[in-house]
Amino acid sequence: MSETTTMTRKINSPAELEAFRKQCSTVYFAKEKFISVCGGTGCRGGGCLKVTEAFRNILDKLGLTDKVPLRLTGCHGFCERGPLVVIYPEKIFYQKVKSSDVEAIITDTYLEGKIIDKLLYRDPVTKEAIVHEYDIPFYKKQMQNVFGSNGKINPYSIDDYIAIGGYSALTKVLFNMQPEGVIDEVRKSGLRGCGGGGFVTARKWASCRNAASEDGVRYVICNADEGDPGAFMDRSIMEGNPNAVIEGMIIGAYAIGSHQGYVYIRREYPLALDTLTKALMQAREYGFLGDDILGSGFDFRIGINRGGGAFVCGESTALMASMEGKVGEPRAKYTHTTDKGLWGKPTNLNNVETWANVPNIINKGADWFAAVGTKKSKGTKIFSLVGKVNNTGLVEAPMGMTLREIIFDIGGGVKDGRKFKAVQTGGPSGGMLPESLLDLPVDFDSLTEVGSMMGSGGMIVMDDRNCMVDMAKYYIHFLLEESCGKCVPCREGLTQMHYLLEKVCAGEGGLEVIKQIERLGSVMCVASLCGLGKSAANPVLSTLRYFREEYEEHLRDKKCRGGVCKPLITYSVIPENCNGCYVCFRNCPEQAITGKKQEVHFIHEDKCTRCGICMAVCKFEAIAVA
Amino acid sequence: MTCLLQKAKVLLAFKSYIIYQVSYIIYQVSYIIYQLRTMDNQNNKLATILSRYPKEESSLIMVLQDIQEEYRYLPQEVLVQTAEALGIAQAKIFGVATFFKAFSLKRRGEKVIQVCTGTACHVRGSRLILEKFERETGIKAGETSGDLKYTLEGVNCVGACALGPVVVVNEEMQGNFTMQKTGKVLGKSRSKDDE
Repeated sequence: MSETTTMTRKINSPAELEAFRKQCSTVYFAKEKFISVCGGTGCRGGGCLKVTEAFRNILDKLGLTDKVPLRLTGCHGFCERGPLVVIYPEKIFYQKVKSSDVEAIITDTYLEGKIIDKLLYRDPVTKEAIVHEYDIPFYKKQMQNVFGSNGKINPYSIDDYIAIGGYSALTKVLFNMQPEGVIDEVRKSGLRGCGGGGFVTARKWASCRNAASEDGVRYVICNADEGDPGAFMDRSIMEGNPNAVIEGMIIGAYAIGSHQGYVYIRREYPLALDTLTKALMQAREYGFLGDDILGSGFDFRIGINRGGGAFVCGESTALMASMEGKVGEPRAKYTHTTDKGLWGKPTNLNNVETWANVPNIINKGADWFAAVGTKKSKGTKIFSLVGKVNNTGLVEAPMGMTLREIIFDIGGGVKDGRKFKAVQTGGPSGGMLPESLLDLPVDFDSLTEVGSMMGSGGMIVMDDRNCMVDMAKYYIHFLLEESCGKCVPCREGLTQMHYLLEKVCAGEGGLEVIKQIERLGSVMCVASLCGLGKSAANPVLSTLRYFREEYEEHLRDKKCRGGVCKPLITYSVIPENCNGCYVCFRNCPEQAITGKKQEVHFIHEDKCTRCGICMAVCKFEAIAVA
Repeated sequence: MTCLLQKAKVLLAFKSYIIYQVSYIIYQVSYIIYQLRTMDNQNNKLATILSRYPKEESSLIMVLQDIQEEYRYLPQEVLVQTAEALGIAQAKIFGVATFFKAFSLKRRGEKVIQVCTGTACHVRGSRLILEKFERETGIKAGETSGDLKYTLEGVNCVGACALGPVVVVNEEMQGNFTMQKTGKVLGKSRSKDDE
């Protein structure tokens, strides 16, 4: 995969690095015009590797391999439309590209500058074809500070990263700044932890630097255990630009005075593990890691730890326990991990996105970073915009953008023209927000105020076919499985909460169940040991706050307006739409549908198990659920 | 005459008895050789895995991951050997092995079907897909079929949320999954639902 490894010697000084950067730049910028194929996980699922192979074969066939630069890059963000191909420098944007389109892209677009109409993105509303990436509404309002390089460089090539200015922040820090100065700069920038906590990064660094350590050992860790269901921004940063994370970590280590770092990465991310491992190897080879980095006298190493697959291990103390080879249980944080963390040493843990922000802050200055955002939340944040929204993918937006702008302008509104019901932010610890709060600016504090949180940036859009009680139950079930079981309020509380929610979903019991849920939730919030338990009731409490009538409907009217909770719904045929095509009849696993060809079918409620297959297979929207 | 015949009979019986005995011994010996070989193999496999990491407690999870990758589950006898090699109590290893989702103490099927039940997939109906798999394989999520053909799992977020619902079959990701595609995954030539 690595294409350009021209040098195998160590770089010993900033001057050598600059000389080498020139060399890299000449190679990288030799041809302004290049083809970038998105190699993110989303596009891989869509078959981008086949497309890349087709590119290689056809370039080979035409004898153009040396003349047409082809880059398989990291995620471009717009996963919904993958596989994506972008032709630089004009940024001609092709979506849903197939192997059969490749030849035309090379001969028509690359060589002759002709646009291929059928591959262009069309505005879902106006049906107008859009040629350039920056004109597409999905990208137009974004501000891709961290994510921007993803589409331009080969993640397996450190040379590409160096060519676009990589590791220049590192030289600046190592040779022109004192550790305290680095922390000051980060403090001025206002950078806060992007993993969910929103803790001020500089404060964390300073307390780790100042913590007492007998032998002077301190650790820095990159938390890449992205377990939030519905979020994948860390994965895409690591897959697209692993060197930015590594550079950020080295700078942080220098500021903190640490000589050993670790990346704790989720095992479900094999591609990210691969890009990161290769990037670390190259960084070691070039002397950005190891002894005497760039001749500055500073030593730092990074090791990789693969996670065992437990959501709770995203919590700092649980993560560290797991790194020590123990069961990933959190501990009470009377003593912060910055004082006593991994193996009892001061440890600084930051999330992938936080680390990736650091080189930019050093390069462009704290003021540049702080110019964007709201009063207390600076810079940009990457959101994973998913669920029932037209343009799913990764969105990097300045802090303070409203939910409406993100979901409707960038996200293109709700899928299939359905009605917006709620947006879930912050993963299992967050909450669900209704339409009335869509004009809320998104930052760390505003979302917390309304009972949700920004969290790591997951944003899941729901429409009127989703049931809020079911969603609350879903999260509680998730947390019930992931709770480590150490403290009683979380372990037993979740079990009981799940039981109560199942009752609501089945329409059993009266309105008093809601009161029980609320009481239980408030106890869990105060009495649990770690963040997981403390916030576990959030999905329930936030839905009760904004969608209480749905709970009441389940219990009082025995109805599920989303058509999700099986005991409360029935499937029926809409006679006007049914043309008697037999498809549902044939597919019903319970033989609950009867009917004759070209006559309206009928669903027998007593036999129906509400599996939903008839609705999924019907091509005429003739099945209703209520 | 009858005496001769009887003698021949006895001889024949004796001969077949000898043949039986010899073949039994051959069988036994080859079985022992086979056993020794696999044991050796197993020891070798474990030794290679252990050689990758320092012999200390913090290596445990990585070692278990490599064992899981090699055998696709954690065989008991290998765990016992691991405990000895790393100097960790068996109970502790059992604790770690049962705590993390990555590990399985049961043998897993030829085809591991993982239905993502992350939030983004859930809102797009992944539960109905999982239920359909359950119905068609006759096993529940988390189980392996008796013939070791399928293992069915509901997993939390595989990080391809934009493509939901996602199903991962033997590490290969299939995005925008629909109920109609289950038959193809299960290797049925034409599922009842394929239209």
